[in-house]
Amino acid sequence: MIHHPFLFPCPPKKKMTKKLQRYWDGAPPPDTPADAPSKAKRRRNEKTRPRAGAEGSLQARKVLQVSEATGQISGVRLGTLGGWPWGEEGRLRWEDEGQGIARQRGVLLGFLEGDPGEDTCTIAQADIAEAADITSATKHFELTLNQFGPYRMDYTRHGRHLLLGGRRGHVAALDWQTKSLLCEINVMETVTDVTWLHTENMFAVAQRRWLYVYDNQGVELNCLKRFNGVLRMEFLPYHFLLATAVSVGGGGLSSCSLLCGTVTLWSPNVKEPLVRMLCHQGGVRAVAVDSSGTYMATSGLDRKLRIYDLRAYQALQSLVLPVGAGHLSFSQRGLLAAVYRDVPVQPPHKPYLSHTLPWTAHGLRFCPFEDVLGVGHGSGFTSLLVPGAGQANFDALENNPFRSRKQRQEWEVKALLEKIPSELITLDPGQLGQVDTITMEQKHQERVERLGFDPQAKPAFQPRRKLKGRSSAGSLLRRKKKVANEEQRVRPSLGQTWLCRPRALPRLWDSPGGPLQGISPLSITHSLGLTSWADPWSLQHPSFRL
Amino acid sequence: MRVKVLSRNPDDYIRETKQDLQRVPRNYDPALHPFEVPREYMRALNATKLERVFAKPFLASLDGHRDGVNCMAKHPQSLSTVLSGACDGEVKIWNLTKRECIRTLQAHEGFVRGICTRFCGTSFFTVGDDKTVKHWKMEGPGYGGEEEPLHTILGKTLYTGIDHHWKEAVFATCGHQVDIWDEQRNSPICSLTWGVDSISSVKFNPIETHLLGSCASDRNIVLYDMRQSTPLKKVILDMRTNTLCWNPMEAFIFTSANEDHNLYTFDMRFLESPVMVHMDHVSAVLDVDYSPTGKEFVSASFDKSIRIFPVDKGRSREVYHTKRMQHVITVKWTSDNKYILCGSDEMNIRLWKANASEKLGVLVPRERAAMNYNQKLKEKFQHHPQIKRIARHRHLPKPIYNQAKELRIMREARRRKYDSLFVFILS
Repeated sequence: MIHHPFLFPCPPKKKMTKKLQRYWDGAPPPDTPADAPSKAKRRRNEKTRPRAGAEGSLQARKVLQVSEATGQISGVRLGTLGGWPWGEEGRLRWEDEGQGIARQRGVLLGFLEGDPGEDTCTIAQADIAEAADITSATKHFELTLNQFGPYRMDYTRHGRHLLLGGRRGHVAALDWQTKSLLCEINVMETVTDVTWLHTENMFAVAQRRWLYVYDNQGVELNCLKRFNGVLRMEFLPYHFLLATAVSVGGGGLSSCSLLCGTVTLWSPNVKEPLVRMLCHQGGVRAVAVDSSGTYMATSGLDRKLRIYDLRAYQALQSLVLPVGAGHLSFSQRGLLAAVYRDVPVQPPHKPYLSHTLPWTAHGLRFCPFEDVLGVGHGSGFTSLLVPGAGQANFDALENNPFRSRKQRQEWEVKALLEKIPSELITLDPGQLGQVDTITMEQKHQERVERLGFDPQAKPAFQPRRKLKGRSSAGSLLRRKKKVANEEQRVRPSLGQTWLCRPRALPRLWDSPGGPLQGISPLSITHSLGLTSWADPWSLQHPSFRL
Repeated sequence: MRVKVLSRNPDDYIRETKQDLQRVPRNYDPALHPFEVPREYMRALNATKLERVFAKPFLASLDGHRDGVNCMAKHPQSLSTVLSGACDGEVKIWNLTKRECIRTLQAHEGFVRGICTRFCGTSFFTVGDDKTVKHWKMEGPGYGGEEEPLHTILGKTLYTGIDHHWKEAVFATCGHQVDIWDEQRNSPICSLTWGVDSISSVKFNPIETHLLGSCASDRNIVLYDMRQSTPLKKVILDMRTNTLCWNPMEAFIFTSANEDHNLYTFDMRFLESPVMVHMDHVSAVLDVDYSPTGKEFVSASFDKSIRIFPVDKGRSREVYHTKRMQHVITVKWTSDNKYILCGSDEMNIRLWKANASEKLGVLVPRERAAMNYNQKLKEKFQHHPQIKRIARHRHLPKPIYNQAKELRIMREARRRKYDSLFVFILS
């Protein structure tokens, strides 16, 4: 292993004086019809699409876009999905309830607001770094490592440590905030992917032949010879499983995209894929699942970026991009990053932020709990500032970026104790908490067959025999009719009255006459036909069960 | 342009000195805690397994008697005192904290058939095979003094059991009939009888203190009312009941230990059918005692084991056995709900924990919180098959295991026969 000198990050860029002409501002109209390139005489445009090996040619620009598409979803659509606290109000409410530092709304949350008339997508990274505080400015840096090939990268779960893997064998692990290097090795073999394991003590490197596990000092711990030619890896932190394939995994399920445009969801227990979704006409280039496992973003060769709801397997949104995005990544707060080449076609949506890299991107990840997006590319690594991407309030018992060695040890033991076995990986993670009604009904049927009658069946209603002529045939029939068809009646159950909060009901005190005098909320609900056993205005927000 | 990028001051998150506690900011957003159900399930599974790991209920064996222990009595005021009577007429008073005998007295010639303490705790009564009832002081004689009873009553017939009223200076003995005595008199104030055979045990109701129940050899349980001086009700079972015990929390519930390996919990108002039949022993049940909470009871059986049953369930939740413990004659649940004492044939009294995996002593608040959390988790997931299987698992000695298997096969065969007969009749 050859150690290479650590190259210093680039000095901060000078502010660009000339404003870049973005393709969505529209190309300048041609002066004469003759200037517009006609279809018959289309020649290769040397500037944008140079020939390979042409000297002095500009490389095709790769445009990095951070789209607010999901942000829109988070603001509008998700709020109506009932109970999901992803909407604007829900997000902030949960952050309020976290103890610790952010006691007011928005104290730590990042944001970016342009001047009136200025689009946020035109703001450059250097401007953001200059306007933000010093600590944040240090989070925007670039590592120029152009000797060892395009870099793949990974952040640890708590966002403190960064792992870089160059194609030609350079692997480096460092604490990217303090810029202190943990280890730097060259494995002398092609490296296809790198990933951290459960802590910053171990990482896995997918090399050309086999899969290796290293210590954070660069000591080789394990060589897994069964895994030949791994292209992509994903570590499942709650199951302590390493998924390897041509895959990008999320949650317990791994999704696999094929050339025919389908995305398949797999579980380690079943040989066949659990779900097959036809996402694109043509190949799928990138798949990303958000941190809660509810949304999936896919981009394909048909130049579309689609957002799907993974619970209902329905398409939510579809964007047209100039070219299919090669990499996608979700942040903790619902921002989606997409990487694609720059072509002079106008997309319908303006992204939130955008950045141009002169090299091809090979790895794209948001840093957890920080407003930072890391990009591994052909010439090293760039760290970009994306205000509003990271979760402000972490839970120290889950992922604590400031944990001490003792805390890390305790956390590791507890995490290993509650490791979820792979047999419990299913489409619905809450399945364990539900009653197995199918087995219950089966058992009941078997019992009925064995006994010959249904022991749980209620006997037919026999009205009591009354004296003084009240037991005549007609009155018996009348009494029987009162309880007839009881099973078919729909009664509001306990849970339903909670969820059907009278938000949609007309509020009687909004009338121009002012609040109705002398009527309490309880009596209003009486008149509107709700159950009267409780005061619905005083019910608490239903806590999350299971 | 207004921009703010998330930046944290490490001073807000890292403790200042080594003497401080670590800072642990929390965020209860479920988005930050994925897989909550499977993780809770794993924690419940671990909690159940650990409960089995820490289930070490045996605490101590009180050694000293020279013959089998026949009866025991709890001290009503002191948690650390217990009295026991042996088959050679000896009565010993034990201190449970030091686990030693503090006083020995030769009470009777022959078996000590019954022993009971007075409600104030200053004295106790014993009955023996020599047809006497003796009243002793709880405090031992001073240095050099002889062990002398306060009072001796000579009876005409054999006495087989004794129990003291919970509030008044009245006690009841049983033998040929149930006699109710006043402490100051030498002859019973009234005698109650219903049936022709001898009565093996008598117990006063702790709540409705004028009621008593008795078990007779002609397979019946008779309830008496002291105010009326007449027997109240009678229920006849298939086999003889050895003892009965009243529920200290429910005035009208009592449990009887029967020779047909079962225990029957009755409501005294509706004696035609028992409230619950508790079936788990494989031999005659000799003694039963309730926990002070009234929710569980412990039973001692001829099959060398003791079982703890919940009142509302038909199956035991716990079984205690040891290689050295032979037929268990008597059992008591201490008044602090924590320990179980059992006296057996081989002259030893054993002290067990009521909750086998409980940690005794003072618990630190974190320990207590962790235990409460684990308890709640076990309750939440108790119906899952894997967890139920582990929680239910108990080791049984070979004789009990084989006997239980045989009884199960016999019951299954009977059920199948009657089921098909029933279906035939219906169709």
